[in-house]
Amino acid sequence: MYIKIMLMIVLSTSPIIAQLSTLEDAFQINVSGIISQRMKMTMTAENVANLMTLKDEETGLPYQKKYLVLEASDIGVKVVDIERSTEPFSRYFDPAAPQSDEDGYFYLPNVNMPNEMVTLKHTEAMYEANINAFKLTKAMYQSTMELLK
Amino acid sequence: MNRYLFLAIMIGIYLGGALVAQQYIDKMLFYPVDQKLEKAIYKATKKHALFSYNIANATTPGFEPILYPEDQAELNQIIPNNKELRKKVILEHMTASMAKNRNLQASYLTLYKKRFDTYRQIATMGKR
Repeated sequence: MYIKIMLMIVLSTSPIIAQLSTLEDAFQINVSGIISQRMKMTMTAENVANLMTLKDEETGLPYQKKYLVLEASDIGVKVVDIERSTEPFSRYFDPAAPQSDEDGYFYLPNVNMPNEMVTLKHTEAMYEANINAFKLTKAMYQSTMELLK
Repeated sequence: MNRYLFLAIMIGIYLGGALVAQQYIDKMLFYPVDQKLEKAIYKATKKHALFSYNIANATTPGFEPILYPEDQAELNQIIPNNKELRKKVILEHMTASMAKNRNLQASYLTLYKKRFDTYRQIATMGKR
């Protein structure tokens, strides 16, 4: 009994639990989740599209895989930054290729197609989970509004 | 004399009946079911927001799910108390708990609505 009371006190004083109290908060959290997953999906699509980009306009190097940096915030999840992968580029020997250096090597982006596909499927599932949570919030909201009838 | 006694008994029965009815109505009107239901609805709403928060942060690196003690206890029965396993959001548990919580909230709301119907019936003296 005491443990339960203590747990309830700890939970009620937890800043996140204290802040999350209404269905509007739930809506906001769901939306943040949906948007972050959508952005992650965009990032994966960009990585796949640039699978063979040998020169990036910004860096002058082959395309570097991009990551979305996510962080938990008061209103769900927050996209903090977009970071580039520091994984080494794969090197190929082809002296005939116009992009090859004086040693005859050229470098390919550090994007791994199977990894991207796995990320894509995972992101899709997470997006769907957030959409379903949103639908549930909407259903709860509607049933609350029915009290007015 | 007998007539007066009969009248007194009848009045007594009438007043007694009225008193019992009054007690029933008082019980119906002032018994703290409403507050309990309101609290339960509020808790269900909070829990829903918390589940949403955990789902939204399921892919956030370093995020550890926040759970109510009853959900934590439920999870304890399914998976061992391993810190490595507890670090991540278990999406299936979250969605299942969310669905259960939604059903609970719907039932609380139905009960709350029924209470309103009772009040309405009392206020309109049995007429709808």
